[in-house]
Amino acid sequence: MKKIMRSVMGIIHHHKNEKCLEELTRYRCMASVPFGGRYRLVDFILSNMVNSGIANVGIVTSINFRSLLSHLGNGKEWGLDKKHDGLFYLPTAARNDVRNLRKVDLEDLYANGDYIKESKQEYVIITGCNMICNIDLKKAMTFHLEKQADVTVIYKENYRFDAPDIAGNVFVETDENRRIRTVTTRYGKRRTDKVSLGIYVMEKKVLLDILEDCARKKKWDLVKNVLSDKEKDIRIYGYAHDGYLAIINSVNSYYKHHLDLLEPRTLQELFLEGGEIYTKMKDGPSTKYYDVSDVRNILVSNGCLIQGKVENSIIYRNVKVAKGASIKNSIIMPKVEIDEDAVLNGVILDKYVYVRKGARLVSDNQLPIIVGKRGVV
Amino acid sequence: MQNKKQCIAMLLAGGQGSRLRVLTKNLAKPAVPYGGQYRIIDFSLSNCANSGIETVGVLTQYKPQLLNSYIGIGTSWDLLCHNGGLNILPPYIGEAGGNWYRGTAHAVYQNMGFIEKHNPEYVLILSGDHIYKMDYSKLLDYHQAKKAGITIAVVEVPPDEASRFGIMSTNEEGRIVEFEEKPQNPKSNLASMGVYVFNTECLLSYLEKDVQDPASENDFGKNVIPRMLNEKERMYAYAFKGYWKDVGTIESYWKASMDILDDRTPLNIFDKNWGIYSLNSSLPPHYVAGSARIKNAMIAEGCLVYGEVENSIIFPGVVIEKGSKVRDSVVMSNVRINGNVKIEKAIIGENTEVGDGSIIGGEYSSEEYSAGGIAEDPKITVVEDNLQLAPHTRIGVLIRMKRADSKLSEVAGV
Repeated sequence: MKKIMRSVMGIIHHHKNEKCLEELTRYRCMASVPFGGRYRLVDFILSNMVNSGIANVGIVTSINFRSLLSHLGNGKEWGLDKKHDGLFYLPTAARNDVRNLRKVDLEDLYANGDYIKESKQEYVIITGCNMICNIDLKKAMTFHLEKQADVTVIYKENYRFDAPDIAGNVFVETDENRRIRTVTTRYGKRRTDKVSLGIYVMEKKVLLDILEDCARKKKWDLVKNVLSDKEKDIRIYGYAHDGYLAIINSVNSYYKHHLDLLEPRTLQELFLEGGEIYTKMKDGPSTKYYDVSDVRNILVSNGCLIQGKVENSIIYRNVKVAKGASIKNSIIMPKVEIDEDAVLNGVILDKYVYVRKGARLVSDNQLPIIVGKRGVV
Repeated sequence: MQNKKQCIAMLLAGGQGSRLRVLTKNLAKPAVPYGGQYRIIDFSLSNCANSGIETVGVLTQYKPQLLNSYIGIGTSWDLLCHNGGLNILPPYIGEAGGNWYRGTAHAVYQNMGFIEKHNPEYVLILSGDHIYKMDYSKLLDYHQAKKAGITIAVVEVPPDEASRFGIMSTNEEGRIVEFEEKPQNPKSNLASMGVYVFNTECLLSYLEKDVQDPASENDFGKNVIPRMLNEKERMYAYAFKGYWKDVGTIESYWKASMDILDDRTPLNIFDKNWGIYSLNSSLPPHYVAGSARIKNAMIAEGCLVYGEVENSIIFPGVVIEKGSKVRDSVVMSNVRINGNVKIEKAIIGENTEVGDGSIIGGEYSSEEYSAGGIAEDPKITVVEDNLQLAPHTRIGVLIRMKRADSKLSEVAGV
């Protein structure tokens, strides 16, 4: 069964709304936004692809792609540093148009049409990079073949959004045979509660036809111009993902889903039960807890020195928490240093932030306070 | 270091380390896990990488499978380069048959071809089973300045321990005037670290002489160095200041592990300028639950901690369930400690599962096992890897057990 995935190539397109994470995407694209204590957003879908048996992955870069390149390199950690196939970078065709954000920008794919045509795989799975899940794409592929669909969309039923995070998502309606009759960006229009994961399975031939058609019409959005167009008569089916899903499209969802990981069930399901989630390897010692530390309900990466009080928080690599400091409900990224007696609650500190002795930063509402890279508090 | 290309390292990693008992039952001593994240050989390999030594031959012999797959081609230590890099050198046969490595000197002698191929000016001889951070380029600079045939790195040891080591006496300019292997009455406390830098020609000629000598045990410390001293070779001692530990026994392994937890230990593994590299996994960060209590401990990635941990080293992927207490112990990778377990002053081998309510170490009283014929109270309890300990197992001593069976089949004090 794994063999079938050798005839599938993966394409990860970049998230067009890079402003949605505010300060966090100032120096990086969505794909390389840190998540889960040691990962980047792209690690999840890329690992899912590799674990499902896909060996040829093209990744469409945004303009802001320096950190993505340094993170993925030649794909060694994902087993993609190969003589045949492997990991390919596909430069974006255009700057993001913030007034008319494309869901899946086919212009980017059209611009990299050579790569798609030259790849020997017959099928293609197109995904975004902002879904956190551990999914076996082989099952979706089998479903696609069984249904003889033109396009299969992977969706999640009963996904719970906080109100502000609904906008910008794609929803589908399926009939009893899982055939999709409606693809829409409007939530609740027909009481639909099936959100698309933004994962689309199709034959490469179908994609190439779509690309040619788009090129003629100069309409480049897979969702808005192709799949929602009823006149096109495309056989679209929906494959349901039952496992954990987090869609990251705002500071609120980023913060909330980060803290989801403090639920051991979620942690197990996402990291320990399905396929392994790979990431760039970093060296370093384990984390050291001192006598004076006081910690509970936290997720901590390697290389930290912890002397303070830490609760309900995610701590990335090489973070130092000095004596008397107190951290609650926060996300602390690599190489942050928190000096003595500082008090933090409901904050996201980006890499290299320094928190001075006795400093106090407390969010007074549900939304976290973000301190950008190299900030000083 | 301007002459880095002129020096290659030969790393001796074939030792069994029999005094580490069950810890080396399935692997060579350099592959023994240490410090929560490493294997012992990581220190020497990282020292090479950090000192600018690009060509390293690793001589393996005793149970090398795990070691071989662990070090691979040296990528984890940045020892991958054109025309050099890391090479594993096992014993081999040629047209005239072959030999196991008889001793440290013989192992290097058997690989003269490797040395000659790279044709360096100097050869650094290292041991893969020591824990230390050392800049070999400084040793090499010293060696060149002294125009020595061999320079031996030495470290000061407490006088009462000196009889465990090869002990040097030097004159005022550092030249070695006397060398005794494990002397009864040591005349100094400068112990050989088993780190030597040789002029290549000097090394080759003494190895040749050594192999011709039927009485020789083909060991650097016992044979080659005394012979060089007899023949009035220019031999110098290089005093190394810093933490250095040869973890020869269970006792010293445990102590060296506890040293990692002590900030006063002059071995800073958090130092970014001299990183210790290792083969890493992509496990998620470790989780510390609300029910957990952690005091003075190192915890690696992939662990799930619901119980209490104090003064301990916890390797990756360990689960410690609620109600369990781990104190003064080393728990290796992927061990599962079920609920209400008590572990004290113990070393738990990889992948072992400890059943509910078990007591390991600590609570031991000699009367309980007097029927087993143990004379003295054991100090450290070692539990082998890949065991399934049934619930309510009680172990107070080094044990060897049948797989999937928690009845004692061999009991011995440490």
